[in-house]
Amino acid sequence: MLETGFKTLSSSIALMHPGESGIVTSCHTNDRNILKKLMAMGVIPGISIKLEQCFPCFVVKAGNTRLAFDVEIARSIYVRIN
Amino acid sequence: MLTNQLVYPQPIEDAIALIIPWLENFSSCFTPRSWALLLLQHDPEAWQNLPRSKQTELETVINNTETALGESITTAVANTRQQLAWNCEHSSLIQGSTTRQPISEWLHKIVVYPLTGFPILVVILYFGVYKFVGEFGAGTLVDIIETFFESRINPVVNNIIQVILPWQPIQDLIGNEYGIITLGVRYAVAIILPVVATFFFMFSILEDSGYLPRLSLLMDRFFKAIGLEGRAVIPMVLGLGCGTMATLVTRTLETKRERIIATLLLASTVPCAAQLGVVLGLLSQSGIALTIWIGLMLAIFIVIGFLSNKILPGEKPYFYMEIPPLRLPRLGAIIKKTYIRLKWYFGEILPLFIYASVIIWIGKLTGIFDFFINLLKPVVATLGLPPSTAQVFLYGFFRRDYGAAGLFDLQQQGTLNNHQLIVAAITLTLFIPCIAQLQFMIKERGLKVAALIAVFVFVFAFVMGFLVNQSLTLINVGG
Repeated sequence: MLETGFKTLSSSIALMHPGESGIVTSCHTNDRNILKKLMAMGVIPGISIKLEQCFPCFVVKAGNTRLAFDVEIARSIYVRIN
Repeated sequence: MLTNQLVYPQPIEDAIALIIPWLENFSSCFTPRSWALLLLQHDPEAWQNLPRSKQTELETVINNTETALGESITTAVANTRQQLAWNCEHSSLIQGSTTRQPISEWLHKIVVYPLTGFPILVVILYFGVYKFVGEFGAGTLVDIIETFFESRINPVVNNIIQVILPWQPIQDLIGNEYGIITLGVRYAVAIILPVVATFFFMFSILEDSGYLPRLSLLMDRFFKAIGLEGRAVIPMVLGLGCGTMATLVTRTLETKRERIIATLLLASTVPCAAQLGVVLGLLSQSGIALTIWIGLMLAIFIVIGFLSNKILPGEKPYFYMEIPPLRLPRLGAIIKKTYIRLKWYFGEILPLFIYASVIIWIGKLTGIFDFFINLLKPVVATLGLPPSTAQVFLYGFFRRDYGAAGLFDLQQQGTLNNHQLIVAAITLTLFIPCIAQLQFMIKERGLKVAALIAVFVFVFAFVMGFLVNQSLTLINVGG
């Protein structure tokens, strides 16, 4: 068991590397508006996303939709990495 | 009527059934079910319409529902809706089996990747704005139409009024140096029309190709430093076309704070297409003059933005945006959009140009204008400019581009040297926005904020002009 090593299972999008993909587990933010906007754009728990780029902005592909957002929002979305 | 009404998870449906009876006395264009859903999702407007006694009761209902659901109502509602959307997508969409990436995907990558994206941005600005709007629109086209006016229309108009109107002042109203046709219509059609038409054409191409959202994501970091977010790219780029339209578009920004910063930047540093075209035309013979102008405008843009970001209270903005696929724009759609924008623009400015001609005529006739021009002359002299520019600044009150076009006339007569051109171009670019933009500033931001911005811009423009003149004299560039 000790030989298996560590693997990051859950992290915020802000800590992911470009090219990694995963499934959104939760959105943590105090700002209800951000939460609403994210959901309206289709970022809801259970959806699978792929991080394409993280500079100058985070670019994420969710299904056929492509989204861009800044670090603050990227920090609030948690993902289980595939 | 929606046939497949959405069915939400049972706890939400129970809560809706509980709330609907409260809403019997509500008169609204929404159905009670929609109201109930909005209330459950904490919609502030829906809450305002609810009596206070019911608000606490609603809070309990929401808490109970969320406990039963195990997640927030907002999430559950979004999930249910998304699920329906997916089902629709699956039943109607056939996924192609090609593994090859389409060319638009490749284009998207090089456009948003910083190392290639910024050079592409510079290329677009150089060819789109400088070459197409600046050189082709403000140079070639303006020349052709101007020459046509000067040689074909003005002499004819002047001859006709000479014959049919006996009185000199009435002749001056229509023709001669400041007439409605010879000045007002000529400026609008010969100088403003080609510049604005080429700009709107280019903007429509950028808009339809899907480049603007990508520009937003590229520029977001930079815009954060000046208190805005990537979305503000759209009013700013539009401001390079028409500040009035751009001021209207600032309402797409999320917070009041961003809107104020954007309005201030549009009113001061962002030159509109007419100004841009004329300034580019004026300064294009001297590379140094053009570089100084561009450098200074950029620096002032950043400093004003940076300072207002520090000074203005309020929350910092967030950036999020959906990025649509890149598409090849359709020429028909672009021409139609350009035409509609031009029609709006002309409907807006042509009357103002004619008023301006009439006001200038009245001012000339009564001597009020000479009085104001004499007042401005010492100010202009402090900037190191010849007295004839006082007139240009006064016209600039009526319309910024009107003043810029006047500057163009002066330069063609050879009254200004390079040094004076830089000072005049900078002062006129920073100068108070045209009447139409001021009107929209008052309409969008309120009288108080608009007045504050206007006064600041006015004083700032002349102070900057003075400083630029002093430093140019000191280092003696282009003199």
